[in-house]
Amino acid sequence: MQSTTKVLKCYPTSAAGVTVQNSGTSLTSTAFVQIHAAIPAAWLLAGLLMSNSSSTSPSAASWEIDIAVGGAGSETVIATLRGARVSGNGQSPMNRFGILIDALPSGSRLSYRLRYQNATNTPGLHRVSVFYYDK
Amino acid sequence: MAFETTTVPCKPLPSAAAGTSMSASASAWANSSWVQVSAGLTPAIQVVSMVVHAAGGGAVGDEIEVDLGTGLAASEVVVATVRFCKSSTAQYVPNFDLRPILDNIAASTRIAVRCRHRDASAQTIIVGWNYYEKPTGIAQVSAQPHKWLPSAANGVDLTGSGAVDSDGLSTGAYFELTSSLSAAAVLCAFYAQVIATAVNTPHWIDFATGTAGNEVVKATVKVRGRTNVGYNVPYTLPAPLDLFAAGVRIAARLRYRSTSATSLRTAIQIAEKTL
Repeated sequence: MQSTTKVLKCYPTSAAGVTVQNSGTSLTSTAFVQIHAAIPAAWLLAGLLMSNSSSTSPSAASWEIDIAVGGAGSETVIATLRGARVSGNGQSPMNRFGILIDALPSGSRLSYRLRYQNATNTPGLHRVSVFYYDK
Repeated sequence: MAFETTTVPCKPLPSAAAGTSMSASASAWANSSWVQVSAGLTPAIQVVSMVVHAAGGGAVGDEIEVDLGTGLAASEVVVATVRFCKSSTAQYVPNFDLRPILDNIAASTRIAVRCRHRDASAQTIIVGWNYYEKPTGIAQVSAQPHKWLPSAANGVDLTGSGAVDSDGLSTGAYFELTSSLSAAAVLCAFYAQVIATAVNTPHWIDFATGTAGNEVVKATVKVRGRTNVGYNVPYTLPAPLDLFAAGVRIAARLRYRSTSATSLRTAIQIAEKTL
């Protein structure tokens, strides 16, 4: 049975998740939004939390989130996860990557972008946080 | 054992597109047609999780099974069955894990899905998946199809009378999930949907083996009873439970803290050994 003595961490911590507004066109990628300018140690990416932001509640829908490393304009996607918002005001539980992803070297700039399958094409605000272990 | 990791990206299927839409039959537990998800991916893949949108129709408490299959049209072979219970008539269900990680989809193989459900009402079921391309370097995977007990049949409703003991605990009778397990298997997941009363109270479920009246508890889980709200997806056990030999009877009972009679619907996911 797999186990670890490493501490499970969340980023941002003690702060709101990183906000993005979905495109008004369904399944169209947003621009990349920076989560961390330079992670202080190599990370093993475990999962993410996607929640709504403020009162601008998007409708329930499926989504895809690309997690990327690299400088602005040169992002390389290291993982894409498909999930769903269960209601406009609701929050999704922690969405786990099935296998810990070992592709975030120390010093990496971490960012994400969103594709939202929004039938009504209504823009809404979303927040994303990531869960990880130090490698 | 240390955590297994990979440098391989996680990917969605389908990608940057709506999920795969199936028209569920208006006849209870009748299979829908197979719908192609992919003509084939290269290389082989390992599937780790699933996302569902039950787009309408069907009642609260409806139970839905989705078969993931491989092979040419009309020759599909089921490589996994996923099952969940609806807690509202139309709902999105968040990403939920498939465990063990599914390692039985070869390269360049057509992938398709079909569904069936408890209610005799038409509805649309939309599904998506998350996967990794092989090789991931991961050892803890299984080529065995995920299966459910019961399957293509109504789940088991565990009932309790509300007659409590001196500690205020009501214990229901055992209800049979299978009379004889066809092959040795590990218990991987279950779901629990409160059907009647005793909502928002703790519920324990004992999964046991043995003949009627001689059951021995092999796993106890605790869930918070809910109905008509949120979502209801399989709860994955922390580790697959290797306590179920071929031929055993499996049964379950409900324990809860309420004087109300109640009913909780459940089914279990297994994977036959050897993983």
